[in-house]
Order: sequence, then structure tokens, then C-alpha cells
Amino acid sequence: MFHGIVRRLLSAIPTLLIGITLCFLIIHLAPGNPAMRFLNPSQSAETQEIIRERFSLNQSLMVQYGHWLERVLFHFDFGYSFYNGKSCVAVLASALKPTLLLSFWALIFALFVGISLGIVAATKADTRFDRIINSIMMVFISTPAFWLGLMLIGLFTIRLGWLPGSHLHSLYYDQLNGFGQILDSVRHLILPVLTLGLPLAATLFKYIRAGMVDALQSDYILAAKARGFRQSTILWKYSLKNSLLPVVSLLGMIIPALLSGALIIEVVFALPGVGRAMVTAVFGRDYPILMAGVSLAFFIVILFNIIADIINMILDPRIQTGSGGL
Amino acid sequence: MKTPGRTNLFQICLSCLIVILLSSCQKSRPRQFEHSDLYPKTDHIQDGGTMVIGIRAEPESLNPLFALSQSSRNIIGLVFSRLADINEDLTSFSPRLAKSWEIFTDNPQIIFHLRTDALWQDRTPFTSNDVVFTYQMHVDSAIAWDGIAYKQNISSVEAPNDSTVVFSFYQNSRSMLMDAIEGYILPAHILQNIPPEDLFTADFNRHPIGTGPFEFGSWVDMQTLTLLKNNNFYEPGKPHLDRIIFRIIPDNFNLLNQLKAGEIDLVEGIYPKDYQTILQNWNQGQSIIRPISYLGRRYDFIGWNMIDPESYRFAIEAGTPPDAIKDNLKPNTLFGRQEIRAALTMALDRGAIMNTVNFGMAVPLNGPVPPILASYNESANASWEYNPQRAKALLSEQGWIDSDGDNILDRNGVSFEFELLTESGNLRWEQVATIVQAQLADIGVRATPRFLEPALLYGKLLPAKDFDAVVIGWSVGLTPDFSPLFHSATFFTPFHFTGYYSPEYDRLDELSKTTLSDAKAREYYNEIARLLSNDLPYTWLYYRMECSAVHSRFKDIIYDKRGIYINPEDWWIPQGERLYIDKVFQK
Amino acid sequence: MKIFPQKILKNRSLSSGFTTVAIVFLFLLLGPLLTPNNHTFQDLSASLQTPSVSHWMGTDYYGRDVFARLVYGGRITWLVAVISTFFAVCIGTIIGLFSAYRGGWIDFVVMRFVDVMLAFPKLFVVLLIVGLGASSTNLLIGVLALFSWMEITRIVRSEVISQKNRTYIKSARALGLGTPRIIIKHILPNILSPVIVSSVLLISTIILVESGLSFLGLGIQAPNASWGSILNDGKIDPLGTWWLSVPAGLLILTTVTGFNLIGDGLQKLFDPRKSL
Repeated sequence: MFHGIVRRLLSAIPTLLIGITLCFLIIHLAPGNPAMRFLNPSQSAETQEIIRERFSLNQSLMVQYGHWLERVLFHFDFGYSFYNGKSCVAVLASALKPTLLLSFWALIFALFVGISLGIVAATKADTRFDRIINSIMMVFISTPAFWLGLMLIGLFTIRLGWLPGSHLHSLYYDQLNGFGQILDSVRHLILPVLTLGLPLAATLFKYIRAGMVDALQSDYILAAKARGFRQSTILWKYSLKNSLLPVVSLLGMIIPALLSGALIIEVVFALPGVGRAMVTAVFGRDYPILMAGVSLAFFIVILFNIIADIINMILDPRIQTGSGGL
Repeated sequence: MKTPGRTNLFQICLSCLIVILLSSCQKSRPRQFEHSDLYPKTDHIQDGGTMVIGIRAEPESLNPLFALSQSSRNIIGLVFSRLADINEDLTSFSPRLAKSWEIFTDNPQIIFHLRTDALWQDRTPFTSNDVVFTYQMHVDSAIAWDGIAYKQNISSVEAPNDSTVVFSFYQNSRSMLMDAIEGYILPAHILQNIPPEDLFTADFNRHPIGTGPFEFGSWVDMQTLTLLKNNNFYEPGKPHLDRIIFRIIPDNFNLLNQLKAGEIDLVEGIYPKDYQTILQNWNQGQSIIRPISYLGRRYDFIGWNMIDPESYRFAIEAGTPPDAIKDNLKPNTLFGRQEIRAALTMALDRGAIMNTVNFGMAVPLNGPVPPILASYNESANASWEYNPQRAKALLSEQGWIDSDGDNILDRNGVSFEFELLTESGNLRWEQVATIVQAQLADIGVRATPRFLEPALLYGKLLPAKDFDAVVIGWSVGLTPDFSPLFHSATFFTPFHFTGYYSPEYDRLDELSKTTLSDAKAREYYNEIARLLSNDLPYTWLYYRMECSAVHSRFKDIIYDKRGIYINPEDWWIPQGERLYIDKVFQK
Repeated sequence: MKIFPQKILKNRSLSSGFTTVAIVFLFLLLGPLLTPNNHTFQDLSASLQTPSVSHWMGTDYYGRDVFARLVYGGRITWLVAVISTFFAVCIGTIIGLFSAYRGGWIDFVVMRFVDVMLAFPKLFVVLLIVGLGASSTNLLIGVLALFSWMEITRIVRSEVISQKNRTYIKSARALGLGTPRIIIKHILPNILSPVIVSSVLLISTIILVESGLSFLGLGIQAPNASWGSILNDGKIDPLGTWWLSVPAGLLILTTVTGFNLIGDGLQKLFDPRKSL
């Protein structure tokens, strides 16, 4: 199994490199010049020239890529933002916290709601209750997350004024005591977490319920029932473990979905996370930030894929190959 | 009986919709507010309070040498000071770091007598050394300060003692005082040890030290930037506010909602349509958000390409020397002749364009000189009233008639069609282009709007003069200097994209800059206005008003064409109108 | 695989899904007949009007008729989704067939390539391409297809591999039948069902992605509309200008639900074992 893990890790490296190279090409082949937003006619010609120099990408693409790669691999230096000269690593590091906060709680919420509802629905399969829950979950899977967010903001922030509709905490956050700070953060996170978590919960619900229904109808469960085990024991000891397995492998699929979802949610709720930094960088053509952000996203996706695969390997020794195999 | 899943679905959707609609149809109980005076007459000005300003983009730098974006400049204006600030008439100045000054015209010099009681925000005294150092930074080529043009006429800056600075000039000129004063003063004791090349990434840019009424407090990336009251400000008893917090909200939607909810206090650059709503609510006494508008600094226009793009490109590629190009320009097939440009201008109902696109928040503009300047003289502008009949007549005199009945004018087999470019994502300009298309179609001219990325438009097409016509806008400086746009010396630079070439303009431009008499200068500006408004390299459309809004509890905010940050040290909040945010911060 | 009509009707997901999609489709098809208004005509004096007799769904900021924009925007949304899916399926099927049939190192390289493509944080890269490139619908379709074919390839490949070594294929080969014929006559019919299910689900995914991009301002550009870009207009005052924000969202929701129901229903029909 150790071999399997090592092989899995090694196979990730070329994937990462190829992906990042392709992104580099995309970014630098894009038409246009990032300098233009800073130029205006009242500047002297020399000033304009120097500003253009500051952003100029005169050297050949290969050379630029070589420099960038070298700085990244050996010094972990992703360069400086075109816009404000801050180090990209610093910018993304501070942007990572809100994104992780949002994603983490959305995931917890989704797991909790999805799994518990999934189990309950499975036990009451084909009843009216089950059908209603199924319909509701179907709606949540099909809802565009940003629209859900908008509606929630419209209702709870604008119309009712109960919850704040943007940012992570109030301006006077530092003035609050510990409990006040927690409460403030929670109030700000409720709507974004709901928006991101509900569709995810619905997807998890589907998988869990299906797995549980299958498990509940399998032979050995029947045998357990015949032997008089209590319903709850049956549920917990036998069915749950088996239906949780696909969730772990789903993690590899969930994490990129979380990242992408978080991106749009961050824009809707004005959260200062990685997604919003990326959108701003795209519009502002801030190439260093874009490369750093894309590398980060790649890294996270690949990392979680590896983790999911390794966990799979541990839990189910039958699976030894990496993804994509048969 | 099994209930079909679909019915449940629709029931759920329907009930959600009903809930939402019902809650939105709630009678919004309009509370009535009294209008509080912006300039209350009182002797008791109270200290304290917080202002939260919403800005759309994070400042890129807080160093006056490098900051280019508007939000950076606003913040810098609160932290730093100049020698003097310009008054509303845009010609005289009020003392700041300089108490007084004397201007000598024969051996051109200005002697500034500086304040001796001003301190930097790190308690170091301000001296003349700082002024000299600032000048050196301004003209340093490694720094490329964007206002370097102001300093061209200055031959030297010297400090005979700690409280006196002498600016020497090459030539006597009307703008000597402005040239000397332009630019915030920088702390020599902090910056002089940093090599100029490294200044762009220096920590000072994110932790500035100035002499202004507010000092830098903290900066949380992408979220907030806080300024605190400078307790050592050289004007005693000021500022009154304890802190100013800039909240970064990239989205117009969030910005406006937070303004309405009272979470932020000041927003600039409000979309005119939304501004009208704020204005209405204020007038009806239903809101505590005070609308503020004033003549701004921006105008929109249509730029015509006066030369033939093909021949221009050919000449450049062939390596033709610049003078030869200018003297042998092939005029544009469509827009080369002034008569055509005049006809197209008359075919446009510019008043209607102005009103619909700006919802009333703009004034007409017929020539190059902006209405905020003293040299503005409407009678010098040629008048091209909306007259589609006359336009058609003029075009047919030039040979453009609809010979084949397709409703498009043509001449010698060429149809009068062209692409009208503009920046995509700029709603105002896109609208203008669409309306222009419709109005020109009425006289048989086919203009097709094309929306392009700014990078493509400004980076490639306009500099190469590879376009037909463009809808665009500039912001103006405080002096009527159009040379970057029309002077032959700037012919090959990106902003001079119309290919306008007029020796007469060059002559008038130089005269207006070198004359020492204000009266003569005004004459020259009138001449320039006459010339350009007749030649029509641009069809000027309208001049925009700035639309902002501020919470009504703030008093004594002076605003005019100089902007809204004229006297931040005077702003204050009466005790009785304070909110939670004004009291929550412990000192 | 024979499909009996009764099976379809009894399959609740399938029938409700089809009905839903059909209703939206009819709306999009007949919409222009119901209203005389043009979806790009701007009447700035009539901006932001609530629904009325002349404008069934009110007007937007530029005075454009929202009902007409919903119809035309919907057409564009559907077109983009269907065309992208079509290309994704074509690409995916061809690559999958090729890779599985060839086997060996070609298969290995191709599957590694699929891995790389799957590792792309999809939205980030689509965001990059669409945001930095020239804004055009064709680019959008191309990019969406480019990031969607992988799942199809996997499905096709695994089916082909499982079929490849079956006796009847081997005997067909032994009889001298050429490769293309084998593929078309024997393998394609078997992969048809999972591919169809995937395509239907892909359509709904792409609709959601495209709406998201248009909402950010990066997808379909003005003056064209898409449901996502209408939502972009409506976000300034979601409940105040509810005619901009609610109908478009509901349409997206309904359409995606419909396609999801069809996909689920087909899954149950073709292969009840694997259905959820």
C-alpha cells in the first residue's frame, strides 16, 4: 500500500506542472496591456513610458515562464501584484482565511444536514415524507447558488434587516469582547454558509440516501433483522459505514465544487476571499495574482484528490490504483 | 394515491414565490425625517465620531509619488499636506504648510515662508528640508512621478533656513505658483535613506507618515483601511472626527444597500439613476442620506478619426519620418472633412443623449474648455444645434446621397457606414453609442457600435489610430491644457488618436502657455475654443456632474468642483445625532 | 434495450421532468409571438417599470422589456448549453472510444491527460479564459465544452473496455468484421444509455455554470441577454426590482430541475441498479 501512496503522490507532480504551465500560457497570451488602466492624458510622455515599462512584458514567453517557475520552485516567490506591489503570497494568504472559513462551515453544514436527512429519508423510503424531502432537495440541487444568495440577502438583510449581507464582521469587531466577536462572526456567516451549503447538502443527501436504501435492503441486513437486532443498531453499525464510503471518494469531487461555489458566493456577499481576489485580478489583469491564485487552486484540488484516494486505499484495500483506472 | 413528485415541486416553488412577493409588498412605512442643516450656525462644535466611507477599489499605494487611483488619492489627501491648497476660484491659494509667499517676476522666484509648528505624524518637526527633498523626488527619473510636467519650469529649490524655501524658475509664467505647490510634501527623514528605485515596494507605501489632519491607523487587506485623528495637527482644535474608516466594497449593489442601511456614511460616484432615487427620498423627508452633487471633472465625447488608418499604418511601417507623415496625411474617407463632422454633430440631439444617459446629472458641452474653469466662455464655442435637415443637406453638398434606395448614404459606390467603438462594460458609453446609432440612422448614416475590452481599445486600436469613431471620456485637470490631445508634438502618442494636425492650434497653444497676462491668456483660450469647436476633432457631448451621498449627521462639509475632501478637518457630528458607531470605539 | 411507453409514464421523474422541460421550451419557442416588444430596444424614459400590460415583466435599467429578454435570454442559455454539451459529448466519445480500443500506452497517456483536465479547478480556469479573452459567445461555448468532455470519456472508455473482451466481439473480429463496423454496430448501442444520461445532466450543469459566469459579467455580453446576465441587472435591489431577479432565477431553477429529473428518470429506466 505504501507503494500505492507513493505512486499516487508522484503522479500528481506532472499533473500540477502541466496544469500550471497551461494557465501561464492562457494568462500571458491574453490580449491587452495591464498598464492601460493607469495611464491618462495629463501625464507626461516620459511618465507614460515608464509606467508602461513597469508592467512591460518584453521578454519572450519562454524566458518569462522560466523566471517565474524558478522563483516559485526555489524561493516560493510568486512575485508582486501589478496593482499594489504587494507580495502575491501575502495577498493570497490573507485571502485564504475567509475562503477556508466559508468552505469549512459550508462543508460541516452540508455533511450534517445531508447525512442526517439522508439516513432518515432512507429509513422512511417511499413514504410521503420521503417524497417531500426528495423534492426539496431536488430544488436545492438545481438552484443557482448566487440566486439563492441574492434572495436570502433580499429577504433577510434588505427587507427584514435581521442579518448582515456582506463582509465577515462589523467595523467595530475589535471593540467587542470574545463572545461578542463570535456572535458577530456567526451573524455574518449564516447567509453565505447557507447559500454554499444547501446545494451541497442536497447532493450529499442523494448519495447517502441511495447508499442507505441499498444497504438496508441487502441480505445481511435482512439477516440481522431476522436475528432481532434493533433498528438503531442496524442503522449505525452496518449500514452507515458502508454508505459513508462513497462520501469519502466524493470528497475529491466536492472540494473543487466547494472552491468554485465559494468564488461566486464571495462576490455576492463581498467576502474578502481567494475567489473575490481572483475575479478582481481578472478584471484588472493582475497577472501575478492570477498565476498565484490558479496555482493555489490547482494545489488544493490535487491535494484533496490525493487525500481522498489514499483514504480510499486504506478503507478498501481492493482499490489500489489511482484515479481513472478501471 | 401517490402524489406526483412534480406537484410537490411546483407547490413548493409557488409557495416560496408567494412568500417572497408578499413580504416585498409590505407597506414600507415611510418614516418622516427632519432635514438637518449641513452648515448649522453654532459655537459648540463637538469632537468625536466616526465616518465610514465606502470605496470600490482597494488603494494600490498610499505614497503620493505612486498612487494613481482616485481612492488612493482621496486617502492621501487626508494624511498628507501641501504647501498651499487651491481655492474655489481655481486661481488663488490658501496657506497650508506655507504661511505666506512672495512671487518675484524678473528673476523668477517664489519664496515660501513655512509654518514652524507643523509636526510629522511621528512627532518629528516639519522643516524646509522636507520641501527640498520632495522636489528632488518629484523630478527623479527612477520614480517617474505622474505630475512631473508641473516641475519642468523649476530650475532649483533651495532652503536658506529651516522655515524658508526658495523656488527658482527658468522663465516667468502664469503658473509658477501652481507648479511649485503641486504635490504633497514627503518626510525627508524617513525616505531619504531609501534608494529611489526601491521606493515603489517600500513599506512606507502601506504605512504612510504625513502632516495632514488624519494619520494612518490600520489596513486590513481587501476589507478596511482606518485613519485616526492626528492629535498633533498644526491647526489647533482640529480635526473633530476621531476616525475615518474606508470600507472596500467592489460591488455597486452592496455599496448602495449599505448606504441605505446606514452602515456606510459616504459614497461617491453613484450611478445617476440611483442618485435620483436618493434625491427623491431626501426631498420627501423619507431618508437621512443627504444627496450631494457638483460639477465634476469628467466629460464624454465622440472622437473622429480624421486620417485614413490604412495610409497611416503603411507610413509607420515604411519608416517614414514623423514630419513627413504629418505633412502628408491622407484624410479619412468619411471624417476627413470638417463639413462632414459638422453635419454628423448636427444630426445628433445631444441634449436628449445627455438627459437620457445621465438622468439629468450633466450639463451640455460644446467645446474643449470645461465649465469649471474661469477661462470657460460659452460664446467662444461654435454652436451646432440639433438640425437633422441641415445635416442631410450638408452631407449631400459633399456628395453623400442615397442613390440606391437602401436608406444609407453613399458616394462613388462607398456607403457611409462605420464602426463606433467604445469600452465594453461602461454602461454610460454603451448607451451613448446605441443612441447615436439610432439618431444617425435617421439621416442615412449607418454606425455600428462595437464594445471592446479597455486593453484592446486603449492598448492597440486607439494608439495605432486604427478605428473610425469612438465614444469615450476624459477627466480634466485644473488648467485648460489640451496639448496631449491636439498638439502636433504629441501626434504619435496614444491620447492624440484623432490625428488632428493644425499649426494654428500649435501657435495658440504655445501663446496661451507663455503669455504672462491673464487677460491675454483668456483671449487665447477663447481662440482655441473657437478653433476646436469649429474643427470638431471631437463632438463634445456633455459634462458630468458628480453624484455622491453622505449621512446627514455630518456637518460643515464643503464641496464644489474641487471635490468633496476640501475641509475634512472641519467635519463634525452633533452629540444628539451620534450613532452606535460613533461611540463604540474606545480611545 | 426496448423501452415501453408504460414504463415512461410510470417513471415519475421522467414524466415530470419532460413536462417541465417541455413547458419551458414552449415558452421559449412561442415567447416572441406573445409580445411585440424587442429585447434590445432601449427606452430610457421607461426604465425600471413594474410589470404592466405593455411590459408583462416590467423593464430593466435601460427600459428594455424584461419578458422579451427572458425569452431571448433563455434561448441563448439553452443554445449555449446544448451546443457545448453536444461538442463535449462528441469529443468525449471519440477520445474514449479511441483510447479504450487502442489500449496500451496510448490509453495510458490519454487517461493521464484526462486526469490533468479533471484536476483543473474548473471555474477558476474558465474565469481566466473568458475574462481575459475577447468576449464572444463562441469562446464561451468552446471553453465550456473543453472542460466538460472528461466524464463522458470515462464512461465511454469503461463501457468499451468491459465490452471489448466479450465473446461476441471476439467472434465478430474473428469473422473478419472491420473495426469501425464493430464499433458502430455493437459497441455504440451499449454505451448510448449512460452517455445520454450524462449528457442530460451535463446540460443542466452547464446552464448553472453559464448563468454564474454571466452573473459575474463574464459570460454572455450585452446587448445579448442570458438568464444569468438578467440576474446581474437585478442584483442591485433584489426584492425592490423583483421582476428582474425572481423570474430569471425561477426559470433557471425550473429548467435545471427538469433536466435533472429527466436524467434521473433515464437512469432509473436504463439501469435501475445504478440509479440514486
